[in-house]
Amino acid sequence: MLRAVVGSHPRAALLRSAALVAAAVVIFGFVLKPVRLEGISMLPTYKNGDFDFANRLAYLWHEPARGDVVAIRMAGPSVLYVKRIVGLPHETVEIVAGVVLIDSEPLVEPAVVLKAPWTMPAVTLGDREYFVIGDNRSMAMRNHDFGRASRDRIIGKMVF
Amino acid sequence: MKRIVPIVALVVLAAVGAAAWQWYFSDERAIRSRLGGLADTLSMPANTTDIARVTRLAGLRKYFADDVHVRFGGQEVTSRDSLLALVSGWAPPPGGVTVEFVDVQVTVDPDGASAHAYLTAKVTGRDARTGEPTIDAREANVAMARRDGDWVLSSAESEDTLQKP
Repeated sequence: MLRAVVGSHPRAALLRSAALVAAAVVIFGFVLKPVRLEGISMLPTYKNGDFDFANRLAYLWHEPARGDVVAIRMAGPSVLYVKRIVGLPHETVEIVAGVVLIDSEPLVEPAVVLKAPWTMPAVTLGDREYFVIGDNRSMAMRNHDFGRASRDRIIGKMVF
Repeated sequence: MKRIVPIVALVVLAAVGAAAWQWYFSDERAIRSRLGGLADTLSMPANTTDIARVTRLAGLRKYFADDVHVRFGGQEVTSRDSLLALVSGWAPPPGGVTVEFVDVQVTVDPDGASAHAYLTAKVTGRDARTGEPTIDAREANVAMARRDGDWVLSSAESEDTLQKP
């Protein structure tokens, strides 16, 4: 039975297993953070209970871009917000009747199909600030967590 | 070579033992344990009766300083009695709630009499209508003080991760 598990070269099998475990620890601990989504704030892009990974190396060589769905940490990486970037540093973001305006220009958001007529006064983002909102904007604005997020809180880009 | 191996093993064992000893009796561990106890007391199993709820919540007294200052979601409380009065009016959902403090970062001040913790308070429950799990989470800054040998919360303030205009 044991031979069937480890094969005829137990040392090689052990090394392969150790390498596999080490690779899994590195990949899922430092590169692809597994994320299970709770709630409806990213509908229809993500449903409640969907599973995805946050790529922690996505912003190693370039900064987050508009339209990216990103994972934002709270005190640490155990609980994350998953939101879409709509505003970039130094831009002015405003919402008028459900339409997001960037520097007074309407933003085209193909992923956002559920909209209520939210209205939010203009806000100019700081040096390392991004404006993030969920895709589901059908609820009252006060019931949706969104707003400015500092760059150091963005831990990665969602993969799928 | 053979003689060195047991010596090295002994040194490593002693180092690990010393680190474990230091950790076990450290203020940081005491504070984490205290916060864990607070989270357990705030958690309510499903279908908790009113008497059981009041009994559980009465246990909160030992976790807070008399003059605790709490600011959470626009509300401000400046004494332990006011805080307990506020919490006693809280009716948990029938499915119960589980409170956890995760990503806790503790800094003990050099005087050893006060400390700060930065954490995420995570509340897991179940939607009464759909039965689906629900999660609410907030970041919090907590100040703690040593009173009569025990660590108690002297102030707590929630922080918005995403800044709404």
